[in-house]
Amino acid sequence: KMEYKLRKAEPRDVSDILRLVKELAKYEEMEHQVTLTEQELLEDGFGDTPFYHCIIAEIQGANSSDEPKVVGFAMYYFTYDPWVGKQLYLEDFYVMDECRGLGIGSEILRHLSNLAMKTRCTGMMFVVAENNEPSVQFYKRRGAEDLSQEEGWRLFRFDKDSLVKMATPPEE
Amino acid sequence: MASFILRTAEPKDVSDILRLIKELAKYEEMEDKVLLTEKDLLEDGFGDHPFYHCLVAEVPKGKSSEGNTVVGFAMYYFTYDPWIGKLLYLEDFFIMQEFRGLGIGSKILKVLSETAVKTRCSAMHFVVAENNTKSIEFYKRRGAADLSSEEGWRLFAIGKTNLLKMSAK
Repeated sequence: KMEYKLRKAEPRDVSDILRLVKELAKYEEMEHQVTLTEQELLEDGFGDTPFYHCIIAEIQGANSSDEPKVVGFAMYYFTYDPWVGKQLYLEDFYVMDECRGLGIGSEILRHLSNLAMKTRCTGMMFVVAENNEPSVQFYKRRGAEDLSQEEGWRLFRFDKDSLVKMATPPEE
Repeated sequence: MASFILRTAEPKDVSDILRLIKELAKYEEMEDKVLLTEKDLLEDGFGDHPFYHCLVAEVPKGKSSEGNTVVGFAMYYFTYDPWIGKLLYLEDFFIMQEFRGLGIGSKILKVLSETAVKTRCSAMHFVVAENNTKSIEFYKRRGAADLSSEEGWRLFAIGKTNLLKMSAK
């Protein structure tokens, strides 16, 4: 029986975090889009103002002398809904294939739900690819609503080029 | 001569911020969903750890038919994309009807873009209601891409009741 435990990520975890970010991106067929580096993860997550937080899931090796292995993670941060206030935003959530079905995902979600309650958030939000049926079902089973469906919200983006264009005054 | 100014919101602005949040919610036909109070806005935006930032647009006293000087706002915060890092997330963006067409919206977007570039964000994200064609065009004219269309992302939410259910298990 595989023993696992959840804990808060530490600076030393950035290489595992990046590895799992890439594995999840690969699962979403977007692996080449990950340009983030361990250095950025370190500065952005463990500096004066953390821009994200992570929970790590570790399993103990077969021998007690083995290093525990990081097999899952959730990356989240706090957002603000102008109608109801603080929200917990679940950005990435992934458990390695060989460790699924053990309850790690449920335990992570339970931990995040507790955290959301403790920090007086009124909801947890996240985005799912519409063709990711297993994940859509995982969330719907736990009461998640598809706001894109029900309320017709569409996610938009200005990329760096557009931002630079908008920030620079037009040539006279 | 500028007919309006933009500035960072201060604690004294929370009642105007709430008023404009309600006006925007009304425009989206969701007015009764605004449960936030001025006190929440004060604690959450001007405490030790701000959960949001605001820019406000002001006009000289006497210009607004309703006597307000704060006529527009943008509420934003920073998020994190695990593929590319820091993002600026534009949460609410609204100009009172009688002050549209004066370039206030464009100026706000310009200041937000400068903020994003200065804080080394890779992009600005925001959500638009799919039936809000006017806003969609405003953003598309400035280079915004509809990720829901292009990449098929759908926004989900788990509300308080279900969070409580999950945290109790």
